[in-house]
Amino acid sequence: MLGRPLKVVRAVDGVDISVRPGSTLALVGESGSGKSTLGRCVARLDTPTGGTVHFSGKDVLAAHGAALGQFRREVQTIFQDPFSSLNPRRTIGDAIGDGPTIHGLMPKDAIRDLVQQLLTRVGLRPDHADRYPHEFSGGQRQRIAIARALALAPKFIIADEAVSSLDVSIRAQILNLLLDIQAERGLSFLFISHDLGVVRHVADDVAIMQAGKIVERGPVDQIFTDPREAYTKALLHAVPRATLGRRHRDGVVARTSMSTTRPIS
Amino acid sequence: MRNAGDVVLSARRLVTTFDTPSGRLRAVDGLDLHLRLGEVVCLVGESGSGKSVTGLSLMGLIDPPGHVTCDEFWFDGHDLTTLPESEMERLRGRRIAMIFQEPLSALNPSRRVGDQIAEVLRIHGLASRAEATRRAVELLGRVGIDDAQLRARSYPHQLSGGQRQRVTIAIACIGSPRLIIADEPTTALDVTVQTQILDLLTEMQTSLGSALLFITHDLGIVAELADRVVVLYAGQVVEEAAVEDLYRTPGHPYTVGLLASVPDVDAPRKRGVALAAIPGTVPNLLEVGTGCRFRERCDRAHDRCGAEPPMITLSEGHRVRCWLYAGR
Amino acid sequence: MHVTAGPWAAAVYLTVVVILAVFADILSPRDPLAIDPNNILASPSAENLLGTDELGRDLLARIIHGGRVSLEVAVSAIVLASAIGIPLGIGIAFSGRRVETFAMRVIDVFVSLPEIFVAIVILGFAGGGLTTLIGTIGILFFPQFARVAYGMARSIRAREHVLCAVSLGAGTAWIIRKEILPNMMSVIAVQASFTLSFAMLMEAGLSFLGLGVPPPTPSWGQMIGGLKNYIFINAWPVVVPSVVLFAAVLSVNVLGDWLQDRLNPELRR
Ligand SMILES: Nc1ncnc2c1ncn2[C@@H]1O[C@H](COP(=O)(O)OP(=O)(O)O)[C@@H](O)[C@H]1O
Ligand SMILES: Nc1ncnc2c1ncn2[C@@H]1O[C@H](COP(=O)(O)OP(=O)(O)O)[C@@H](O)[C@H]1O
Ligand SMILES: [Mg+2]
Ligand SMILES: [Mg+2]
Repeated sequence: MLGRPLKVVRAVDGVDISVRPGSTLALVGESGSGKSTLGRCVARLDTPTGGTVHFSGKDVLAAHGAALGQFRREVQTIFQDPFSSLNPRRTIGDAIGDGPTIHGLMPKDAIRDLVQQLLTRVGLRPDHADRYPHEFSGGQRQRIAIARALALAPKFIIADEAVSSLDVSIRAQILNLLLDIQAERGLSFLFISHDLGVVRHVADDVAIMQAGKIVERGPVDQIFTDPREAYTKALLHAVPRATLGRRHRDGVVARTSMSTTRPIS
Repeated sequence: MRNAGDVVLSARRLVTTFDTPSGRLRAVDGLDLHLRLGEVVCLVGESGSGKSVTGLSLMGLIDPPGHVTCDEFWFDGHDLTTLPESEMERLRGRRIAMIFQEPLSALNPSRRVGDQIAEVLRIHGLASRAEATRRAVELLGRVGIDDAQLRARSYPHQLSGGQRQRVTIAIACIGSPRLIIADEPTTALDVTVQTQILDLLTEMQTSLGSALLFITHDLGIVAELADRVVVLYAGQVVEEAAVEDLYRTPGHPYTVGLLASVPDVDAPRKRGVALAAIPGTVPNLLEVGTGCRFRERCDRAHDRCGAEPPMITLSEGHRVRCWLYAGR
Repeated sequence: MHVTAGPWAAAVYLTVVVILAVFADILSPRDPLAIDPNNILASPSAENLLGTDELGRDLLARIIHGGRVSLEVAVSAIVLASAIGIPLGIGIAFSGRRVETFAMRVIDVFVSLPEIFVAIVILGFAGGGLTTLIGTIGILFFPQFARVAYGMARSIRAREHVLCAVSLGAGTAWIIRKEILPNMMSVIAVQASFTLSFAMLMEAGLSFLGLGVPPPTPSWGQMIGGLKNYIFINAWPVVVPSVVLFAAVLSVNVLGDWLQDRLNPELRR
């Protein structure tokens, strides 16, 4: 490991984050708070108007040529929408093989073998390589997107709401896959999500974002058990708990007491 | 159960099919549903399980190639299986109201929200032309929109998602509906806004004394909102129970798996321990044969699961469609 | 896939027209240029199945050969228009913001020009002839292709699969070739089919005015233009090319509509 912060970002409104090698930083916030924008700046898919991004000690925004090529190999992004994140006109084998093809890393046969290995690794069958995206369910497409991101053996993956559109039972499968792969390969993650339940179970560190600013950050357990900021507390409080507890009874009491309000028509 | 009022809706063996190019698909397959005034029933299931189709079928809003049949369908004293469409139209919107996930598509984009509310008031004969505008502003205030006077003059796109959903709730409640069907009304909203909308919805429902059928995939919302829960899987009810029974003693292996796969915000992360997940994916509705539809994903599947599982009553109001409980 | 009667009829009609046009030399019953002064402006007979024109030439033969010219001009013009318009549109979509705004303004001006007048001016200076005609129609229609290609490229470029490709390290050429082009072809095909019917009408109109295909080579528009002068002697001969042209334009449109519904369910309203 590199033993120093892998990467520091300072975006236009003074956002500062860093991800330690092999760990997961979760970026949490409501929609429109700027999570995706920050993620895209880190991946150099957008250019911030100011600030710096360092990856493995190198300035990402200044990189070009071979240095940029290396950055593109080492940093991958997985997006939310499993339906628009795969090109409908290309087979998934081609899609997964894109990275090595673009970088001219290996001959065609080797790429085909790699694609089959990756498909197996993410829980699909090697013969799926010749199919088109529309033949797969949302969960399977997210597996394909993961395989695609892994093809270049990256060190750092930005997952932007990568499991948000999946059903609960499928979401856990995909999270387990991501966590296993992280353990196997010592990957670092920037995990962007608005789902605090998921974040608690994948993150090492959490940064809470509101209106383009980081309002609080810290180790996952501290953020969840001892939040400092009112906004963090409000967010945590608002999450519906899937257990019968205090809030349910509160709710019933609250609702019964409201039955005195006058009908509206 | 809180005030277990009169049964307002009762449907037996509701079946909704769609004729698709690749065959006939049974999106809802033999659903029994009884809703009482004053109660909140949550319809839960994963995407494609038939939740929305159920809601639309109850509203009489399924169009060809869809087709709805029902052995028995009573609403508020009317037999809807024999009711002519014109009567149904009168009930809809007034006695049964529906709220959708995307309020923007339920509102007319080119008219001010105040005018839209005023129009519904006039259609229902609840206000004269002169009075309607004032009442519309009043209603907007009632559903918690600040500065209602000003907001009444806004177009839907000028409102936030939460405000828009407040407007659709206001419109839905105008006719004092006996039943409100809400199809994932908070799925597109942020958690903090979601809480407010859920509060508003239950407040309205309580004050109207109507039944609320709340469609959701979020088991957290179910725990907070429901009196009773109906769990759908691949178009069929697999379990139905009072909310306490469902969370304390879930019967169907699918319900058990579903509850286990919700990551708990309040439990610390267990490193190296996989999150509970249900293997596999939901079956294609065009390919389901006979037998339990969950059996391929079930860790307790057995030979007999190849035959249609019976609906078994575990305790009062707690029913499970599973062979595990047969012959008890 | 369910296909209604309209598209079927259109497809059958166009197939017949295309086969006749391609194999005109074999299938034509007579020489389209052979004059017969004793049998002018005749109605259909066993000899001349569709009658004859003002010089006694066989109308069926002229319709068949004329179809070849009409189709050749329209199709070549569309190929030319898309060959210029598509790369231009994509190029603009990938240029900087300044260039983009300016270029699209210019394109919009081109699109809003009254085509037929511009064509008349160009052809008036350059003179008629097959090549000039194709060139003129092609130039008139390329801005439309540029605009569609530009819009599609912009919207596809914002899709996540394109961002994915960028983050894998793909360069602009790769993005255009693998991600953008394949995903815009269906929309381009629809655009091409609609433009094709315009091009056919344009060819007919210009030939009608004597600015298109020079005689004696027949084309549908030019036949209509010549025969209209004799409408009070015998209306039949001018009706034949008019109906044939009308049906062809209609068929192309019907097929274009069908293609649009088929390829882009999201465009259906
Ligand atoms: N392409 C864009 N054009 C204009 N505004 C944008 C664009 N992308 C994002 N924004 C704005 O930036 C803010 C942050 O957006 P985003 O990063 O997508 O938030 P999040 O991912 O947290 O939902 C939002 O207010 C949004 O309106
Ligand atoms: N108009 C339609 N035509 C064909 N199939 C439909 C139609 N509407 C819904 N379905 C099918 O019915 C099933 C249930 O859909 P739906 O009720 O929308 O699920 P959800 O539980 O996510 O709300 C799905 O398999 C869907 O494909
Ligand atoms: Mg986002
Ligand atoms: Mg739904």
